[in-house]
Amino acid sequence: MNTHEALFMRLLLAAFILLSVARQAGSSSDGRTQRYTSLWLRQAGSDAASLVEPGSVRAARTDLPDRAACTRHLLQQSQWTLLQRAGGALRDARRDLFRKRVRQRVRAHLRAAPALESARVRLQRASEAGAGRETADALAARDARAVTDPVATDTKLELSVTATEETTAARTTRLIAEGDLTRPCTSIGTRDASDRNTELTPDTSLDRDNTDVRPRNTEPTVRPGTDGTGTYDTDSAPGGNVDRRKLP
Amino acid sequence: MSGRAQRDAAMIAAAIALLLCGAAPRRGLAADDPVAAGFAALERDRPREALAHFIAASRANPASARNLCYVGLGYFKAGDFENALEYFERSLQQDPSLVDSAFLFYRANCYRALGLRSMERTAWKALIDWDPRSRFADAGREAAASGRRERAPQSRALLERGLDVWHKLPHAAAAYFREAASQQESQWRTEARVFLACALNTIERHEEVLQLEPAPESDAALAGLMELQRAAALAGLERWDEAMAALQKRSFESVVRGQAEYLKSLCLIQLGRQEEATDALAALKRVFSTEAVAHLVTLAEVHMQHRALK
Repeated sequence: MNTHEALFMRLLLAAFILLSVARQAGSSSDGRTQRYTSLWLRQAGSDAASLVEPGSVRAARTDLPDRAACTRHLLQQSQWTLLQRAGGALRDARRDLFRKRVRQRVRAHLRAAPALESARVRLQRASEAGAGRETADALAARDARAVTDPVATDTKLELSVTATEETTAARTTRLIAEGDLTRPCTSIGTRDASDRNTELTPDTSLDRDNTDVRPRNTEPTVRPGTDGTGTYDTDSAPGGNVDRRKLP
Repeated sequence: MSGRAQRDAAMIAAAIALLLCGAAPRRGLAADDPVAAGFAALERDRPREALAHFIAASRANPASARNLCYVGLGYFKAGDFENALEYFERSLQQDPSLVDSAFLFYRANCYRALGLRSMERTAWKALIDWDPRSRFADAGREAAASGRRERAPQSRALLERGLDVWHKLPHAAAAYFREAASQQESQWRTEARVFLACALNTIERHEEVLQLEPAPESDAALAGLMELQRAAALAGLERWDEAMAALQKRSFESVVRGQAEYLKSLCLIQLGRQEEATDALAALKRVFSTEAVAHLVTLAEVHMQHRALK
């Protein structure tokens, strides 16, 4: 092999090594991330040359009905949030309780138990802890479903507290007036007492609150409250007005 | 052909083969990699196809904030700015280190397209502050200058739109509410603030809820709902005693009373006040026989079991 051939072979070998290294770098996670970042910046760079049209997406509805009706509607639509939050806190607390505190404390208790404690007691406590853990996992899974599924979490809390001293007529009048709070509408301010029972159509973008569009009784069923000051409509309970077939 | 020429030809053939060997696995990698495929589709100016690839990548690796960001990019390129903003914000919440000039540029552009003037101004300012000399900052200056002539949508329209997208795009809804709350002369400012608090609790930005100005007491329903959201934020931060104090501070009116009782029971359970919690739960059970209360009852039983073990 002459000098020219040897040099050529070395060059080939070097090229192969470089390609292998580049290939390995490209296949590794860091290499991929770098590649993506450069692609991301490249896209943004091309977009930076042309900005989007300002306000190209606009809220379509700009009609302005009366303010009180709108506020009631907004309140109505907002209420699922708190329950979602409470559900999340409940899930976290339960998970924390079971997975961390209970298990740790049971273990600590078993460690601190007298040496002569019978194996039966230990076994019983261990099995209780195990059963608790299983329950926790099952409940956590159920909560996770409840939180992620808007049908299960968007439970409806509606106004239905009534003064027990009210006369039937006064109560009926008030419930009719408050009936606006218990049914969502597709557009704020498009209904009044006269069209309440006939004009409602489900708004699919607002999930479960719109699933029940049956004509509403002006005299809802009420039950005595617990504090002597009021009564609750059973539909006003968290999750009260939901399609139970969809619940976990 | 001479012997030397034959050797040279063989070497060239070997070199080509080696180069192909080196290149082939990279092609295979790109084919298996949905993110790379998404960017390739963007290069070919096929945003919908790119979006599908980015979504596939995000589904394959849901924990990746970067993949969420790329989904946002896909939506942006496809012209769906609400979804783009939602995914950008979600990715940022998941991994704040994702912020770079390009990210801030895209986010500001989303606000621009959605007509959120106040948010857009803030976003351009953040971009210019981030790297004043970048090409993105130049674009930001230009956009901020041109946006001054643009009239902002009415608060009411913003609230409506926020409510429309709230269930599916809570980050975008929060942006709408924040914009509405920033319009000083609007008659809907209090409503916007209350609903911003609700949305912020939904996306677990509880600290920001606590920084919001309370609603005026002249509007009892809104003031009650705002207080309830503050209590929910405190509960979200696991400041149970403060949440309980906030709930006890006022008497909640009809529309939020059920929720206040529910949250109060939750606080009592968390605070270990079992007897009071048991009473509260019993009262709730009498009037609310629902799944949600069943959860609370289960939690109370768990705490009692815990105490018994202790």
